[in-house]
Amino acid sequence: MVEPIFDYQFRLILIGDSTVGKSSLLKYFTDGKFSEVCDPTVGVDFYARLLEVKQGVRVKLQLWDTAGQERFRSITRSYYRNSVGVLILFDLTKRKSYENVQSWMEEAKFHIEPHKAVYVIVGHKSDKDEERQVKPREARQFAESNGLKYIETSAVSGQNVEETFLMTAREIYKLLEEGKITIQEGWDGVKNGFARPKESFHLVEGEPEGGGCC
Amino acid sequence: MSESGDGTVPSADEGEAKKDKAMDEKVTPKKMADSNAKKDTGEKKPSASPAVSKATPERKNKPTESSKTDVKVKTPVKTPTSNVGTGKDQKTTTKSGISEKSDKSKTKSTVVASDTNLEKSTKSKDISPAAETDKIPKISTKSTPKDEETSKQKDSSPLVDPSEVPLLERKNDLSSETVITSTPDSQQIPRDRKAEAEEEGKEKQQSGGWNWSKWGTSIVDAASSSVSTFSSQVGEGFHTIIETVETSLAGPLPEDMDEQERRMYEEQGMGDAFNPEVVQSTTAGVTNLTKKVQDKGKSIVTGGLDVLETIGKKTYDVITEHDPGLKRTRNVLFDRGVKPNLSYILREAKEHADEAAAMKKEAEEARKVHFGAMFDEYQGLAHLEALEILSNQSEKRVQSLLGAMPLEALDSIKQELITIKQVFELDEEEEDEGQEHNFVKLITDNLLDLHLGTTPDKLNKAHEKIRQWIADFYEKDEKEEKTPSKVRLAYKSLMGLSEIHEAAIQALAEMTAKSVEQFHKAGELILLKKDANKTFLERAKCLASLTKVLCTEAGILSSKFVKCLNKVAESAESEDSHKITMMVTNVYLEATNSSTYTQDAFQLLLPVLQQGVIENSEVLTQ
Repeated sequence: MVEPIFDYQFRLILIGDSTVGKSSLLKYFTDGKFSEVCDPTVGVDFYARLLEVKQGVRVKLQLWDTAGQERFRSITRSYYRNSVGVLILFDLTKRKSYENVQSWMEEAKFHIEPHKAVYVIVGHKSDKDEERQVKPREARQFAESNGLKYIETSAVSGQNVEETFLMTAREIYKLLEEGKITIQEGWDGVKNGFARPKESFHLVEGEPEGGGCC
Repeated sequence: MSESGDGTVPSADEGEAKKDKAMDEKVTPKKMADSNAKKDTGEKKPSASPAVSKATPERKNKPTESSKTDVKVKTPVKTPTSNVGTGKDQKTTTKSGISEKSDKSKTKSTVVASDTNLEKSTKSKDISPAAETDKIPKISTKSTPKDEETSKQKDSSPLVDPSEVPLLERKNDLSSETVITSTPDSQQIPRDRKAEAEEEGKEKQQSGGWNWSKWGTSIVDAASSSVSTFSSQVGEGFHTIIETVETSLAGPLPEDMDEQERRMYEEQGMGDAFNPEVVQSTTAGVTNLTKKVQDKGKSIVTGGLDVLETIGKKTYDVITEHDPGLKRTRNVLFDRGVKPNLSYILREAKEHADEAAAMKKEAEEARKVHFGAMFDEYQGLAHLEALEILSNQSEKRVQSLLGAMPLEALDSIKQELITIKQVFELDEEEEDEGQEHNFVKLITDNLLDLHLGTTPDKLNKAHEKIRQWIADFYEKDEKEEKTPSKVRLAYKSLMGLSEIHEAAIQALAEMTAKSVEQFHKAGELILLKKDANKTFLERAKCLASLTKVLCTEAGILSSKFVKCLNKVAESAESEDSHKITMMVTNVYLEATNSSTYTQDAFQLLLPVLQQGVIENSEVLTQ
């Protein structure tokens, strides 16, 4: 009877310069719409969504939306360790954000290792093609030279949003199946799914007379 | 089968018994035995199938005729019986008379028989076998009365008394009538003759005996011979029907057809008809031929179908006899039980799908009233985890900082750390639950006092939403009370209860999640804002107060929801009381859970604040 709502939980973290669009990307992914107004993230925010990585295998993506502001960097560092997927975002229209990808990546790797994680470089705001300051080929070459995948997204048009997360989740699931990623005690990157949440309700059902009157 | 069997079986038995008698009395010729054997086979088979039994009457009527002729032949024997004591000469004359007469009658019947046979044979060649088979039932219906006669005759014959001569004579008349209409088989003739020859021999042997016995034996003879002919006829008849079936099945041999065609051409003076030129010139002959071929083909097809039907019926009967209801045959042919049929599979699949859907729906519903699941959905769990990470990090940092600190600095800072810790030891006993407070004001004030730049928006929004829900509930309830309707009440009690329960759990989960989030943010900001003009002790007090407010609010909300539940419960059926009790308990339990989560989050802030204290004091000392 115990049917898990999801089989695994993958913790993904989004990092990158401030205002590259991490929160917008996540909002589009979870709500399916683009929100114009977006306050700067304080510390970390959370989003979640279920995905089917394979027929019958449901995964809950717990998405950690970190603050890009430099002042939060000391705190966001703390959250790297327990992530199994890292999305490094940069703004296609801001060359500086692309140049910082290297340091973001190194910082993430430094904190996550020795744990294995999947890294993806995301060129965001692909809808603003005329303002583009980073060529796709250039970014792809950089990603491939680091053994990573590169994808371009837009929270305005929704281009590749779904694909980015699905691709990442599938990659993680593949590594999990291959045994390159394992569920470990004291590491929250990958967790087993929630069992059917009914226990507490049943507990009460078992002793209906106890303290019911008021 | 049983219809005809009733007629045949007893009479045949009788006949057999009589024959046995006759065989005992005289040396039976070999032919007799043969016919006997034939009769046996002929008698057993008809009982097997209705198809054959249908045919048997036809055969039966033939023996009837033959026996009648026999009787006719023998009746003159009776005449000399009256002249008992007359000389041998007389006897011989009568004998010769008999023989003459019988010969005459025989020849008569033979002529008729041969004529009919000729007719039959020619017909059977030209006319379709279907026509022949059609004949069978006709004859059989005709034969029934005759059949009865035969049995009557047989019954009467052994009992015949010399005094009953007129009866016999009457029969004689009857039989003579039948002779004219009868169509005996060609096979009948030699058999009858044989029987007659035997009889003649017998009579010659018995010529010395006295009248009574002679008369009696002659009657017995007549009876036995008629029976034997009858039985042999039945056997033969069956044989012929088989033959007919076979021939009609196979149809005319191709050689025969070829021969016929050739003959036809020859008749028309076209011996060289196979020359294509001649064929062209003689279109009339060809059309004639094709017509004939067509007719023949048609008749073959229809006849073949009839035969097939007959065979099918017979096969069916044979099978049913050994396998009533065809159960075994069906099992063998269709192999049921091993393979489940498609409809069953489909039904099962549908049931599975329905079950899965129902379970999914149930799970979803269960999830909606599950505090933990909802708390997670509002990201409370994630914030709690993140706060835990920060807390753990801070604790490590505090330990390392304290370890690296000079003793005098440690002493001065220790006091501050202990005071903060005391603030975190909440005085749980004085929980003024149920007492209404200004939640929004308390929260906003406390957060402002923290001086961390966090806004109470999220908490206040969630709070407002919940209060609005409760207000809406009462408003709706009042409206409905004004227009009471039993149906609506029943519906409300069913829907309302689970609705309220769900709303209560969700409200508590949301409030708790927002509370935890607030604490998480506070922790993050405490770590960042090192140059705060607020002391950490003051912040600790603010956070403790905040915790208290949030826990009280959880208690108030749960009470309000329970009141809603009880309000509905008043109008609900008594059988729902168990469900209501369960829900009320659940709401209170989750309110306690909510408080626990909030307090846990608060406790996680202690190392963060301690870290702040130490780091700030370090700055101060340096």
